[in-house]
Amino acid sequence: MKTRTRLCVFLSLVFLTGTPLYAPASDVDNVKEFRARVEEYAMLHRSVEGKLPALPQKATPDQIAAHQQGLTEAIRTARSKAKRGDVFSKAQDYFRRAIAAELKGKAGLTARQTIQEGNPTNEASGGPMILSVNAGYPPEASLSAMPPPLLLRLPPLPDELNYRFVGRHLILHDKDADIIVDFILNVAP
Amino acid sequence: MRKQLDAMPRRFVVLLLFLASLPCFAQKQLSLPNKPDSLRFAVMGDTGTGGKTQYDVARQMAQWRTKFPFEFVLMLGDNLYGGGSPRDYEQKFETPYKPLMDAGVKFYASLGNHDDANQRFYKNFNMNGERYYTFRPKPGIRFFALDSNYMDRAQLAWLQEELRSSGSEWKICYFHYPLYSSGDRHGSDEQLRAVLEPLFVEFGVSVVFSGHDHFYERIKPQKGIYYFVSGAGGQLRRGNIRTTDLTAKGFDQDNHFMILEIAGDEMYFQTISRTGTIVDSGVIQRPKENLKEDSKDVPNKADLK
Repeated sequence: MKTRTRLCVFLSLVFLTGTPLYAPASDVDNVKEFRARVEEYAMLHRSVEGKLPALPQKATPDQIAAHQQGLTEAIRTARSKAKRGDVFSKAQDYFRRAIAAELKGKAGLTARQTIQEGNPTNEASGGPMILSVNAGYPPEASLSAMPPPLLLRLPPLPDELNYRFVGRHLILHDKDADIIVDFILNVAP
Repeated sequence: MRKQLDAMPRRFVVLLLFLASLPCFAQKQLSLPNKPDSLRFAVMGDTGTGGKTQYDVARQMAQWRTKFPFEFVLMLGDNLYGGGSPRDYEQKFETPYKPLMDAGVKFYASLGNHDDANQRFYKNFNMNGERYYTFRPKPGIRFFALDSNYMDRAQLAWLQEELRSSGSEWKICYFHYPLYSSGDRHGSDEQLRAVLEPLFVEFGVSVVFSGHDHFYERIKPQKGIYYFVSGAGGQLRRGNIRTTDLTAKGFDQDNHFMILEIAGDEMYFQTISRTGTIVDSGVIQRPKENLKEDSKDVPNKADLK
């Protein structure tokens, strides 16, 4: 068979069967790296928080406000050069696929409805949110609900971090410092 | 005596009888038994507006407490809207509920979608730094406060273990997002229901309180569990209850709060509007298949007394 013919047959098989021309990088390795990076962030959080006056479990509003402000400033200083993708890194594609699997189509309808609950783009509280690494999560903005099946599917996070949606974007939210640690754009269908 | 009665103007007697039959008089009566050894508490949700209606409801709560001295209040989330500054705490919680706090009433909060997670450290919310926790104010009665905003595997595992080892006759859960609701704006959280309801059924949860939808709804029992939506302690969404098969009783025309009493196997409840009228009342009989004894001899670290 001539080379050109062989190539045509091969390409036809590729397009007809959907077989990719290349194999994607292993999700296992990418998720492992992601988990290492979130743990690294958590350790940074704990380290800077350890240098602040301890917040009592029965604190006053002034103590809570002071602690949060100190924590936020210290984290921003410690990761002043952080940029988008530093934490999600190569796992972004994994997250896109995992979220799509949970949210797309008819089966994903209730999950899609869930992430709209409390989603700050749906709530009449303040102006549009600007996503930026180390930016504060606006205090007047609500938090999106997270579908429990999705939380069970995604890699677990240390206690300091939560996954949240802002519109269709997935963010890593430091819930005590109230800052955006990293984000992936347009991840929800 | 008869001469005295005859002497009373007949019109005055008729007037008295007429006034006694008016709703505003008839429906402001306490119908809870107020038994000596019972547990008395109140429930409110979506309160933290700092607005007039929140303050009105808070005043009603203080007034009703003079005839029904409830010991603590469950908060169903959205405790502070618009931020968590010291001023927010003052205007949206400390000032309206000061009479209650001065009288020794404790508040046990759960977190809503408008709540900063740092609220769990606030002394007057009694969360002891935890997003989710349990407390047992009286032998045989245990409350479970959940963070329905973030039902991750750690919380589910905790809840399963706590419910399994509880053994209390009354297991009462409360959290922000309702598993069952006829709300047009929000409605039932079916994803949350899918993970929580099996645990509630398996381990004999009797009653669940939630907020988020800004009205009152008593849901018909679902798999033997009684659900209440009580999300109008400050917020209100008038006319938001859709017609569904879920509703046993609904009220979306004004704000409200609830007062409850557990005496033995009965839980009595009254739902009171912002203006003091009774919106709903009744008694819940605890199913007999719940375990008898609380198996915990020593409270765990999350127990709050």
